[in-house]
Amino acid sequence: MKSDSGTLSTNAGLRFMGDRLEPQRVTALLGTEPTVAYRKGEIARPGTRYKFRGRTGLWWVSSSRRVSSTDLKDHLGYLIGILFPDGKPDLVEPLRLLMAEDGLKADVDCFWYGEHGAQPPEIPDYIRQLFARLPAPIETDYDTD
Amino acid sequence: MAEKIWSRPENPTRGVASTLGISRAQLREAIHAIKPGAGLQPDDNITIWDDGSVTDAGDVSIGNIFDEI
Repeated sequence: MKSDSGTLSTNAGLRFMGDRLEPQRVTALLGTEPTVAYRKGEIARPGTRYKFRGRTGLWWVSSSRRVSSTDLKDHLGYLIGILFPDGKPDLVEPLRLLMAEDGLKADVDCFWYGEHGAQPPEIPDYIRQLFARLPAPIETDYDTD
Repeated sequence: MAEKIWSRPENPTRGVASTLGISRAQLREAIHAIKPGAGLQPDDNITIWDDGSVTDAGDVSIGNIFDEI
C-alpha cells in the first residue's frame, strides 16, 4: 500500500531483553501476546525451520500485521495503547519495577520504507517522552527505493 | 547448496531483492521482521543467502526472507 506521503511500508515494535526474562511475566503484565518471545537458551522459533537458541531472553511485539496504516504514528500509537490501556492505570511503573527486578532493557524499533525521494517521518517529542519513561530508546530503520 | 548474495554492513541493494524475485520494499520489511526477534539492532550485520535464509554474524540461521512476505 502506498500513501500520499510516499510511504510504502512502516511498522513499530516494543522489545524487552535480558538474561532473566520470563516471557509469561511480560505477557501477563502487558495483556498482549508477543510476536516473538523466548527465554535465554530456549529455542527461539519453535515450529519454524529456523530454530536457534536465544542468546538472551526476549519479548517483542510488532505492529506489523496488527496495524494496517501507512502512518508510523499509528503504529507507535498501537504500542502506546499497550502501555496506557484505556480505562486502566498505565503500566509504566509496573514495567519499570519488572525491568529492575529481572534486569531487563527495553527499546522501540521503527521501520519505514518510502518511494524514491519521500521524506521519512518525524517522531513527535511526546511519543519519545512516553517511551523514555521506561526507558525505551527509539531505534529507526528508514530507507527509500 | 545456498550461495551468499549479501554480506555487507549497508542495506541490501535492489539487485539482492531481484535475485530473490521480490521488491526491495519486501526485502527490507522482511529483514526488519527477522532482526528484532533475533535480538539484533537495525545496523547489525547479517548475511542473506539465495534461498532466502538469513544468518547473523555468528553464522546462526535466524530466519528466512520468504517466511516474512
